Amino acid sequence: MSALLQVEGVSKYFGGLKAIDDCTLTVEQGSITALIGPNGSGKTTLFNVVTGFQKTTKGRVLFEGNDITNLPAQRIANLGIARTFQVSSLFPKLTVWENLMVAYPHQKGESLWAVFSGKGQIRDQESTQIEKAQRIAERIGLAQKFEEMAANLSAPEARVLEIGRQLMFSPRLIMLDEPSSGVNPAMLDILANMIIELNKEGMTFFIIGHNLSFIMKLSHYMHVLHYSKLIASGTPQDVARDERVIEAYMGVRQ
Amino acid sequence: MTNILLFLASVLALMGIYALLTLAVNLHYGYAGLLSFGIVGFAAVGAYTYAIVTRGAPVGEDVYLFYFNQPWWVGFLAAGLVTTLFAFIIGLPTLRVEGDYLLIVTFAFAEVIQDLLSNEGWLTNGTRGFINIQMPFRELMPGRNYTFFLAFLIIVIVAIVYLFSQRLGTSPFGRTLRAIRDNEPATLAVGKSVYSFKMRTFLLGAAICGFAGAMYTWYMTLAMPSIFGMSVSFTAWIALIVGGQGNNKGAIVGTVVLLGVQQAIKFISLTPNMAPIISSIQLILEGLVLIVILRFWPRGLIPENSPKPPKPAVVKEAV
Repeated sequence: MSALLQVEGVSKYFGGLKAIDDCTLTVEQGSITALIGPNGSGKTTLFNVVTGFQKTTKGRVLFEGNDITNLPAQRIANLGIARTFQVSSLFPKLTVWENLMVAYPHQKGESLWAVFSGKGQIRDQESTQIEKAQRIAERIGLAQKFEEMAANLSAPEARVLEIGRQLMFSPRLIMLDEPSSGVNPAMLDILANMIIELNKEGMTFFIIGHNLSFIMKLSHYMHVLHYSKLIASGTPQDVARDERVIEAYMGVRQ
Repeated sequence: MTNILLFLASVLALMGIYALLTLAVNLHYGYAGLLSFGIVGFAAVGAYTYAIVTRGAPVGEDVYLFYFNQPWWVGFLAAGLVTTLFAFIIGLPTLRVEGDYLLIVTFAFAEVIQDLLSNEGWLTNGTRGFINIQMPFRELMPGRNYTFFLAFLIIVIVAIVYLFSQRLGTSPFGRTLRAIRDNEPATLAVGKSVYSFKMRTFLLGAAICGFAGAMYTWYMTLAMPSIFGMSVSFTAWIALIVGGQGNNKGAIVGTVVLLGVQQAIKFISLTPNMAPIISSIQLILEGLVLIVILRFWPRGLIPENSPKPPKPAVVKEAV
């Protein structure tokens, strides 16, 4: 296995506050890697720094060996890193199919020139895209709601649609921020199976999780953040036995 | 009879001009979520560009220095171009920040423009403004009947801009705009250059306002600072909220309803001493229309509607 994403000595300071302090970790190609840690330990900040939503104070981020540190978010996305957000972030006034279609990269119909000159070529591309959207909708179990407004979906449906939307631009790495929040237990299994299935097809995942049983079951490898520092890395079994991790989650044994 | 027809034609022309402004607000706000209150500022820039480009030498107490003596269509195109340039300069710093800042800057822009128009006499002829505006095909259509022609011309332009907005709105470009409006970070996360989309939309909307401004000078037969007050922006915004955001039909319907109410009230003022009363009631009634619409049709008379999904390509059977 080779490293798909490398975070090298990354720090993020907000004034005097160290949100991430000298964090080094890797996400291996083809793995499901988890990032866990108590609230406020800097997990989402690390995601934001990697995906260009916040600027790094120090350190480097490498994706497929290329330096992507502090590139604009949309360029990092176009390099093949998809991410979701902690809060549901669909386009509520767009239908399910539109939510999927928006994510298709480099659409001809996004150039004004093409909009007013080439109706034919846009139609061609749209009909190719919609096939992909239909396949994804079937896969995430939303084929029946293809023309439903996203605002009318339930919380779990919204979660899977977000993942489906990221699939639409065929990323190399999918980063999920708390995919299990707002999802009921029955749906959680479906979500887990979907992630495992996609992973078997070669997709790499980097997942922030609060729901430890969910994340332990899924992941091959885990990184643990605590007070903005990386305190442990390893397989779920190793991490679960690690003294510092137990301390971080359970408190110090008296 | 002719008087009533003339009145209707001029109402139609005014509705047409406001319809353009409302379409522009819809493009900015309804589609892209840009809080743009500078509509009237752009219209003023367009109007004055038109006036200056088509102007002849100053006479009497005129103080302006620049005039270009060009035919109306040159002025019309220049109006769109110069307004787009203004929008570019405003958009450059402001479209990078979110939400309210754009509102403040565009609001201030419109106010500053109005002040400039009154004070920079060398360019704008000050508060005197420009009268005897050159109008398209005026020489072919002498007398009062020109109003009918003007109404017709404006309707044709509105139809073109409507079709243009419609095409834009239902295209993948429009889809991405609505996505930006709904959730900007998520649009970034799927790799869209949000700034570029906002900028292009901002420029297009401003260009429409520029054209509308030039047309407003035809309708008024003059260009003066006082006709480009903030109330023009508000009327377009109210029209959009009444008609329904995020769809171009709503913009048109809202304009027709709002201006219809306004003009209908004017029509009742039969005796001269009723006029001041009516004009005060007008504001109250407009507010009433807005409240009633928001109460019973919170998403506007015509709510936003997603287009039908495109047909997938025919799957070729493997031989």
